[in-house]
Amino acid sequence: MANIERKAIPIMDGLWQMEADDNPHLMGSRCRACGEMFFPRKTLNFCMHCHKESLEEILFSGKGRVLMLTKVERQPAGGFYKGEVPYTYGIVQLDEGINIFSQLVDDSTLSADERVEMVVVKLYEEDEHDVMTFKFKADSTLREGVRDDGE
Amino acid sequence: MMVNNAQWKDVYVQGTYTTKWGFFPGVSTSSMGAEAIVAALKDAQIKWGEVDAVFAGSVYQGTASGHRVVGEVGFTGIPIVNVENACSSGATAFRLAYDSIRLGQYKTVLAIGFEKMPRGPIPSTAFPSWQLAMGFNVQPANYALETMEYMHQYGATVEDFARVSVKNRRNGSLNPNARFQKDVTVEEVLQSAMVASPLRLLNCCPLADGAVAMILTNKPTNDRAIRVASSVLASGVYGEESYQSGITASVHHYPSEGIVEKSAREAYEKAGCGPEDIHVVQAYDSMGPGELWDIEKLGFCARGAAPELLREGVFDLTGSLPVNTDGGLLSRGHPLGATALAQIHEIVLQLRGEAGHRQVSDPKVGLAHAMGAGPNSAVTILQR
Repeated sequence: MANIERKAIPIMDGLWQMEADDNPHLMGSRCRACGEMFFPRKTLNFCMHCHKESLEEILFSGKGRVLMLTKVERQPAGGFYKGEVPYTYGIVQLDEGINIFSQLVDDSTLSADERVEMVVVKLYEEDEHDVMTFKFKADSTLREGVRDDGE
Repeated sequence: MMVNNAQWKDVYVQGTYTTKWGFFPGVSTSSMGAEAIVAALKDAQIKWGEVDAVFAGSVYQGTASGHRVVGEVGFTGIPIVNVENACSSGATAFRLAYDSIRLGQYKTVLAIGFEKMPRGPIPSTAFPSWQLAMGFNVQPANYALETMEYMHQYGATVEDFARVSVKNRRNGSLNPNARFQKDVTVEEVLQSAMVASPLRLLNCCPLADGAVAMILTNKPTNDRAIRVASSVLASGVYGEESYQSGITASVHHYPSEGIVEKSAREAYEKAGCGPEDIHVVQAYDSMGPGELWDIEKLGFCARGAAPELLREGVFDLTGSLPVNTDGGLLSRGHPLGATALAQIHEIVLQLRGEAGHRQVSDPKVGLAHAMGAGPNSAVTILQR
């Protein structure tokens, strides 16, 4: 069977980038004056908190903890969303200290306060493309650690 | 900065009317709105030609929708201003009408809210496009996150949230205009379909079509007129979460006062009263749990205390602070552009003593609170 190369495209440019370590990092903005952070990155150089023109681009580490999460059982209205339903959705606090909305990799054991890490995964297929999104999943290094300790 | 001016006029609600709320296929938005206008004029005992301006709230009705409604009644050359402010559209139209009279621009103004709702969960576009594509615009899911935060902070339970639905559906059973006029039990709420954990179908308000029209004036001509003590709109406080608008909290710069607290404080200040002076409340219950934290943020009790007061019956029709006497959004339904004006309508009826089987005992001051995506928070205080 012919192996057709599928092209992966991000759901929106400028949300994340791959680094030399092959790990994806969310892209944001930070205010040099007051320290406030924004996601996604701001194209307008204007801090919404202190109102100074002092934003710089930053990359977030991609680690954090999930604050609360819910499972969405209904198709979102409006036809904007083309991914699978149900899906897990919540708020992640990144280690840098910013709260962001994110889908979470479906895992019935994931709970509030758990450590999570960012991944880039397929949200849906469109024509010959895989449309990719960022999500967060349980921090694999920690989970392996727990298992090792338990044995 | 707020200033006081002795020239400012007193403003009264002279007439008000709501259509029945439900699904009315074949009935156009304009004819629903026009029905409300003609009936409100009759209630106010004034003529259409006496109205100086129209502020028309709607969300999904498209360009110049207020003109289409007014066109059914007949153009008279007066200005028509269309107002879209998500779930606060009706209260925003009311506030503009109130201000225009208070500042002496007009004598008699019509505020109207109307909506025919798209079917299914509300397709809010109050989100950036990437959040829509990622499925972040499901309002019950956004409320679910806020609900879990509330449960975590104050120990509220799903039974507490179910009791809000039980109370409001009981009140709605006494409201002939509500979409749902049938009681539910705690068990029925807890067994209804899961929408976004922990919120179930009966924790969520239903959609509906409906229209409300209200005549405001500075020269009341009958003793049924109700004085508007204050009408305040706050739209967004930096750093506060508004999950319904796709906004998370700032971790390092959380505000000392939230949007609801700010709008309530300003409304009390302008009205010259406090939460202890309010006898009847329409709170924002698009999702049952929201009513509980709304009551707290409006200053009626300490944060986290509302679930216990609800259990004690304080917010019942016979309690010391009846809340959502017409059944709230949970019974009445939620036509976005009309909802916030319907809350004010119910306060007017209660203060007039015209609320029928759901009339509470001799209220003199009432408060209506609408909020929603944007974010917006609109507080209106009315006084007999």
